Amino acid sequence: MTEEKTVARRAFLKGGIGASIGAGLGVASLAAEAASPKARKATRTANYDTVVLGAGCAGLCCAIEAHDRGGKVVVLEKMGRPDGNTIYSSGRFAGVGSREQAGLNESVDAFVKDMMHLSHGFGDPDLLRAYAELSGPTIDWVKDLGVPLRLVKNLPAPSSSRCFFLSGPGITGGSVLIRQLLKAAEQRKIPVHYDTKAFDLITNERRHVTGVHAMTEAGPVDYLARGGVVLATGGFSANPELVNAYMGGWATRLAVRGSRTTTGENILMTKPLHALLVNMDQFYAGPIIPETHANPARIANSAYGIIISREGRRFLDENLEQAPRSRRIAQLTTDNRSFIIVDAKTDREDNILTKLLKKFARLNSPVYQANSIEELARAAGLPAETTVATVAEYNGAVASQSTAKLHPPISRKAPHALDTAPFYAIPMSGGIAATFGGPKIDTVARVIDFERRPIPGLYAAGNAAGGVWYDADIGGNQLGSAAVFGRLAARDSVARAQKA
Amino acid sequence: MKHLTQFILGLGVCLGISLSCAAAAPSDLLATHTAKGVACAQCHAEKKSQKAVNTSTCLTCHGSHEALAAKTKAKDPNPHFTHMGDMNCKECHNIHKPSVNQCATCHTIPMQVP
Repeated sequence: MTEEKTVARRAFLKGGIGASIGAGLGVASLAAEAASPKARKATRTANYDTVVLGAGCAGLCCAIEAHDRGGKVVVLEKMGRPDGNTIYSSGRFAGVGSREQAGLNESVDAFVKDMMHLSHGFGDPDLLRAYAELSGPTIDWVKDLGVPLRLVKNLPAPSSSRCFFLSGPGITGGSVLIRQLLKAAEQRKIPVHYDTKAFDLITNERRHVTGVHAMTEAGPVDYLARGGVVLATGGFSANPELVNAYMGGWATRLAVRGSRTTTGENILMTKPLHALLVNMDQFYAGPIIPETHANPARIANSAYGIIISREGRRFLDENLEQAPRSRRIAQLTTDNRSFIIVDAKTDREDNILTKLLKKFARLNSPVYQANSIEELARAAGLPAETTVATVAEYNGAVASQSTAKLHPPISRKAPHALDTAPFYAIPMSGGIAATFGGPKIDTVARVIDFERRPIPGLYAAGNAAGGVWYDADIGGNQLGSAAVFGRLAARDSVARAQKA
Repeated sequence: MKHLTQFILGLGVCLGISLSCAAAAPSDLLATHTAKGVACAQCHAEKKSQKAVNTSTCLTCHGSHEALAAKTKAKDPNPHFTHMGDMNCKECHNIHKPSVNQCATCHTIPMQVP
């Protein structure tokens, strides 16, 4: 190394640390610390092309792609193993144009149109197109990594023939995915540094991102990135302060589904760089039983039963989509508690009642059963008189085909009366899963700033990225787009490192 | 105060002799490891280390996550094959303090964790 280069490198390091963001310390004191021999010894530095934060679907796909494109990549995971939302997810991938879909009538245009429709027009058509175009090749790529994705054809729209499923023996599909992605990373000797928490971004004097300050069990490490830092840290569903700030106090009553360590590093790390944070109030909600984490979704989404509060009264249209229905349980009840009341006829829909009872028994999650509504109410701790009246009013409306006139109305086309014993009361609360808000990205996963310019060296993918999703999506969109934008971030950051 | 000083001194002596005195209620694993003649230093390579050992240390004797999963395959759910992935042993198993049923942090799944 020449004298000039050594000096330049020192200046770079010093400038980088001096310009560090959000450390809560004065720039002068940090610069002084960096200059002292003790601090130089204390903070180690490590050099890479791409530094990926988070070992979930987006982060691992990013790392594998970066490696395969010739990049030197490292994954930093703050927990002792992957603990983002992926391992808790059912493991669905949505996409079009894969090998297995050849000959099926599934186009990028129709896929984008359906996703835009679900977002009520608030989705970003360019981002959705970028995802859609690479979705099929990415599904092939994930399968070639050994992930056993299976296409299920002819599902009801908008899933249609676009959804690939994963399942494992007694584990979630998302866990199958992570196990296989970790194997693929291991085969490539991609380092995954666990118990390594990135706290803040390192920038140069031009505010380009050049690395991250991280804390490891052995002390502080500055991971420097020639190409870029990719935030694949997930969203902020498990950070009650951010949930309160962006969604409101009611949302803190939602049970946290999935990871309890998705705490908003995507927001906290990028905000000081004037990243454009968008869709901050948006998230995916789903049903859950807080004490057992059993999930009554299949029955809640069926054409059977009514949903009542602890006061024994209906309070929403049972026919709402899963996400808005689950949100309303927290919004409209004082305790985020409700019961689905169903009868024995519910099994006519694919034996969903028998399946649920079996699943709930395995998780020791209570379901109340009785031969009359009055006994059922008493068993579940509901006010008997009100509950009986609510069910009688509902049954009367079904008989007179006037459920659309109930308060609140039910928009189901063919509601079923609650008349066949035994009757069941299934507890259900609302839960928060993936948050959709975050730093807005462009079509190659670069984070953009207030002036709509990409911040050089900063990328986001998966739930860490904002601007892709709004309100509702197609099952499998989250993992599918996490993989796609993870790969796009890898491609751009490795190319940038190779040019540097 | 005198008693406290004696206690601290006593504790210090105790720690010097055996780390097992450091915590009030060891898990079952202390007895099973001791019965098999496993010496402190076999797990705690560093002298006087009171840190939980790494999973890789446990696996030098216990094989692999796959081997552990096979051993407990009769349990439902299998505590060594869950959606959490290959967990670090110390997330559930302790030696010098009571072990923890991590499943129960989210689910109502009874699990006797040795």
